[in-house]
Amino acid sequence: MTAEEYPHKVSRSVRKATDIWCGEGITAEEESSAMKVYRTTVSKKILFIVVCIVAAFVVAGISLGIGAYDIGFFECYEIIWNHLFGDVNDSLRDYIVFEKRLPRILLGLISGAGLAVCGCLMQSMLKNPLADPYTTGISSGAGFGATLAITAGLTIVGGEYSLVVNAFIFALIPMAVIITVSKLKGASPTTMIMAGIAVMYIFNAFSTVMKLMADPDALAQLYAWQVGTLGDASWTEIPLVFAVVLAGSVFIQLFATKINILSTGDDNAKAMGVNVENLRIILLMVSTLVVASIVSFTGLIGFIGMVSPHVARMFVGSDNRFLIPASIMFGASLMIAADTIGRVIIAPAVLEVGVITAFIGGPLFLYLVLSKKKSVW
Amino acid sequence: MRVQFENVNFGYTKNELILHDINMDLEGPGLYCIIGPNGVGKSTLIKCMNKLLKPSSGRVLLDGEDVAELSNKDVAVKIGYVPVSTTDVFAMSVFDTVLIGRANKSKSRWKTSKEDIVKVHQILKALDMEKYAQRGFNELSAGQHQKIAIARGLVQETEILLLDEPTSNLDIKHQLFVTELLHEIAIRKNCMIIMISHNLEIACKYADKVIMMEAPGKIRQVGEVNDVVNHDSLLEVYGVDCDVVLHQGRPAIHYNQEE
Repeated sequence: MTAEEYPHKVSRSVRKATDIWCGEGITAEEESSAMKVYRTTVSKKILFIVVCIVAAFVVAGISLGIGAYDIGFFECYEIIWNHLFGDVNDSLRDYIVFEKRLPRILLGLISGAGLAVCGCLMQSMLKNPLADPYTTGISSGAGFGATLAITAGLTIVGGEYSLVVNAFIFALIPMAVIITVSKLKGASPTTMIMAGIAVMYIFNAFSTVMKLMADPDALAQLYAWQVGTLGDASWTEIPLVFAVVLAGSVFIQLFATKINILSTGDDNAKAMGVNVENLRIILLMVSTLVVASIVSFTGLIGFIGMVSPHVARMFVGSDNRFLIPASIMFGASLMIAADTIGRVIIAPAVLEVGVITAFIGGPLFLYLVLSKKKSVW
Repeated sequence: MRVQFENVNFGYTKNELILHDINMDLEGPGLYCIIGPNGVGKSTLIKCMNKLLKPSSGRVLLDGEDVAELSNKDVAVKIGYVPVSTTDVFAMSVFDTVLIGRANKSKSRWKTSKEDIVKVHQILKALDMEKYAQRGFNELSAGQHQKIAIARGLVQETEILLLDEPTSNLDIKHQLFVTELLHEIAIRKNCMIIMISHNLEIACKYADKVIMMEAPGKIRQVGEVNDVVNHDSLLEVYGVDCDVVLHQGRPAIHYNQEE
């Protein structure tokens, strides 16, 4: 039978199925119930994002109040409000909250958000649950830059920001290598991860050689940098890091639908009109810039970038349109929560945030993996 | 809708050609089945149609225009594609997985329109998968994955849909159902559906045209099922001895014991 000989003999089940696909036999009630189901699932995802935003404000408020000089939760926000509108009542409290504590908390929120969005992107883009913002070798590059600055005093620029600039510039080198390899061999996830690991080993070897020759004071300083801290936060760097993280996050969010298509496989994505290889390279560049600018100020804070997207995924699923904002907000909350704990747990001493994220994050993550009901991986 | 191959050669490396001098002209709606032995270049052939692969020489024309000169997006809007295997590391729900197929139809990047939701609902219901809509994609069986991949191809509502072995994991009932459904959709929706199939009986039962390929990467014949599938062609292409008889006006195949 050919197309011209219609109507022809068709199985009843196939006729019925075709009718349904052509929109016959679907009632208006059925359509609205399908809409309702979809809206409910979307509302749940948005609810998680809102909960994370509220959590970030609550944890930030608690964290602002904690310290040698205790200040109440609402008072902290009142002080910030008054400061912003030029109505400072108590200059001591204003100084403590606005100059001493707020920069640290803001840097925590911003870096947590930035690491989480890049971790989310790396996992989705490289299709690897173990991917994090450092998978492509950024950490080793930045680490080598820091090692050069701290142990040998070899810096690209002089002055206060010599270490920061060193870490930033060297963090970009692995990306350059990966892009070159990808251009030659195709930007498949495996190629990118392998190239990243190769660069990581090379940089780590150089760093190790330099550490072996370094004096103990420099080693201690380097070690502190590698663990990662929010303690060096000040108002000077926050606008810069904020601008980079904000621009990067918005950019990544704009590509959410394309990242979704990418998740269906390279061939399918290409067939749907996505330039798979260029997309991976552009996203890698954005992510590297964001992570490098965070890492160069805070050092290598681990775990947030890997665990935040996974936790968010358990609640909102893998649709990147929702997963990206959920990861951002969860990462921001988790970072300042970890930092707050680090500040109180052995007070008056401070346990650096990089240690806390691993201490708390590890068991928490294990618990979530064991208790997850739906298959998200 | 029309797909033409003009002297197309293709090789993954310079020395070894997979497709040899392909010439064919497919026009009009209907179900087209590509049959032929393993490794003969069936998947390669369909990948040349939607620009996933670029021919080493020759041209592929889509409605008279050279595919190589169309943008990826232009091709994507005209030709849908269902690849062989589809497993995701991070699985979305079945509904969201199918919804991705609507990406090129959606007007807004963010908002999922009512039309998109209704279309996804319709195709899932048509394939009897609507009860799994909110389940995770990875929770389903291989056969169900294939139905979802087909659904994602169909919701793209393209003029041409290419399917690479879409029924390989389905049981016999669903192979019959899906193949007949594709044939029916091709006619009702006035589109061209091109599928690769290893099930000759089912291909013979529902295909409007059959494209038979033979080693090394050549088109043996394109035409009506009854003209293409016969004892001699199956023996030469597959090396399988069989009797081909007519059953309800279509070729039915009885395989003979090899000596």
